[in-house]
Amino acid sequence: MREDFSKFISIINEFTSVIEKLAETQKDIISAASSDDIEKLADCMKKEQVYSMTIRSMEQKRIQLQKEMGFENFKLSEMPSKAPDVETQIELKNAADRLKAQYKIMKTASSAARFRLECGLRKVEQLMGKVGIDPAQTEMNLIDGMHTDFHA
Amino acid sequence: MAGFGDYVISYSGMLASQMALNITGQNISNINSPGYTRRTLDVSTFVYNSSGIYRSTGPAAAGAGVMMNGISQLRDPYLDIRFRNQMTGVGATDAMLAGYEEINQIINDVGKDGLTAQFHDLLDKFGKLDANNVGTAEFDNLVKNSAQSLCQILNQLSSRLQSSHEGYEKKYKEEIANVNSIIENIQKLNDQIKKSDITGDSSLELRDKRNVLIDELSQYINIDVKYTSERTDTGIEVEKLVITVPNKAQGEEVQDFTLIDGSNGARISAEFGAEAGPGGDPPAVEKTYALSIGTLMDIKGNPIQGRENGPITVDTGIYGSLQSMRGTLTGLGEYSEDPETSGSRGIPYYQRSLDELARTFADAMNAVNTQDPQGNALTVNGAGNLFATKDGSAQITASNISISNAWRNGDVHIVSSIHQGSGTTANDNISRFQDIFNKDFTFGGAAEGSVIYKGKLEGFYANMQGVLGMDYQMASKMFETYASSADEINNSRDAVYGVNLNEEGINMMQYQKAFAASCRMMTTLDSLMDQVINRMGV
Repeated sequence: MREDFSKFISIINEFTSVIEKLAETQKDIISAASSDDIEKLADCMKKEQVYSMTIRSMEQKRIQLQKEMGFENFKLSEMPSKAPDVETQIELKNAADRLKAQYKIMKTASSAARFRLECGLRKVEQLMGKVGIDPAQTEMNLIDGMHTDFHA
Repeated sequence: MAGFGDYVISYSGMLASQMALNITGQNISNINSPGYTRRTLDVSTFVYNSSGIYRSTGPAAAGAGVMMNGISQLRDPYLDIRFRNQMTGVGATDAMLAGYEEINQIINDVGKDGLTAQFHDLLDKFGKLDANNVGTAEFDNLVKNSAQSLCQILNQLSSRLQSSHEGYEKKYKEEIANVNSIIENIQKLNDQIKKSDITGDSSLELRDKRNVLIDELSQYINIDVKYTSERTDTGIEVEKLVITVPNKAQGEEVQDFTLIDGSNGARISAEFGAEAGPGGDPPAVEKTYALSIGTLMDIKGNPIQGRENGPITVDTGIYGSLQSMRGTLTGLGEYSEDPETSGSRGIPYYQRSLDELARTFADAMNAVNTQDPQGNALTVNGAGNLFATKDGSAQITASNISISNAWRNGDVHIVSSIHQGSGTTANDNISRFQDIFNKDFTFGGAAEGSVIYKGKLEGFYANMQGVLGMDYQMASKMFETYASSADEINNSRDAVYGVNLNEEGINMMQYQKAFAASCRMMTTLDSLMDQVINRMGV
């Protein structure tokens, strides 16, 4: 059981580390969007995708491990009380606290980045409108597959 | 051929250019006025179709000049919404930081002569009670004085946390009063704007004032601002401002709280508790500081039936500075019975931690001076409790811990040996006292089986500072993100509604040229008319 909890704590710490990197990437997105640096923004988007996929795979690992430990569907805040000894309990509690704090930071940065991108896109749409291009029409064209895939 | 109607076309052009120049002048003169929104003249082509026998039957009509439709403010509601959203986060994290800074000033004793240093001092005094000194009044007094100082430091820390809590409570009350004052002012402005709308006045200055107040309100509480319309008794359609507070509770019947609905407004209050009346009637009300939004009232303060709001019960999401202040006043962290709110650590968390530290320390010291390692009562001379409460209450806390009267009077002293009748130099019990400073203690939370910390006593105090540091760092990073985002959106917003001297300069030249051209047109028409009247057929 102690070994399982050690693995669980490692996953939580990995989560924290990836989420920290994701928060940094969100800040880079804000700075790229502010300086109209499309290349940097595209790089950040790629990084963001990689981190999101890493988180998804880690989440699968966590769910699987919790299932094996017999704590399926238990909340993270409930896990420390299930630890086999006090030391593990404190270690897990501290890891969970760090993760929660980092998640809050990431969520703030992510919403700020989203706002910044939305503002930028809106500006683009307004400019398109001024030069007589209907943004909705462009969207239709994208759906029809008439444009090259940006991410390809 | 020039007709008198053509003079009207030019005249309207001159008037419009003159008015546009006046507006440019107004914009420039208000470049530094707080909250001023750049204005522009709304114009459209003036066309009229006459009827009857004077109606023009020709296919070509030049029009009838330019019509001034009104003056509008250049604002972008999208940016306003985004800005206010971020400002709610700025207000919330700023209030969190203020709370943490206040606590930090009290419990952070790194590099200072605080609690940690006093623990070391007491341990040092026990170290000096070596084989040659045990039993001497001089060294017992040294330990006693050091222990008394430790108690005083704990008392002081507790008292400072309590004063900080009281000060924060006062500040919370003031902030709620500020919010209510803002709501009242917006209500009054809405009423004045409505009256102006009815009389056809655009009341732009009032709208500027209102926007500044809405921006201010967004720091205190999360708001949604909507502009709708209402029909007056006289049938005129006028604008109506509605401000709501999103209700994050789940369920089908859940509705947002209405803070302002046109000239009607609700007031925010918090539960500051009440003492029980005589015989317990009415019963005492607990101080929960929970926020609640009252019934919507008209501008005279009369409640409007069917427009009740209610308490803000769901503590998820950020509600601006008021919610954060409440967190500082009530946050019990791991000591909270409610697992959903155990994440928030405010002043009560640190008060409780300090109490736990004082109690654990006192219990351990008393146990060594009253029991042998097996838990049997000591029968040696001077055995007894070293620490007690100074107010006679049953439980030792940081605020009431003191050395016991018996130790102060000399009836009890540090028991140097648990063996009755052993020589005056026996010091086997002294090492048990010293062990207290080096052994691990477990500090638990409210949830069953939960542990907050395991380690040395002074380590627990260091852990409190570490927890505060982590919370502070988190709030600080969140604040930085919110503030820079709000700043950036504000710059974009400023680019829309702020006065830009370059743009105004270009406008000035354009309107000046338009005015001169209209004048020139008038002169041309005059010369055409002169041709027709004085020189035709001569």
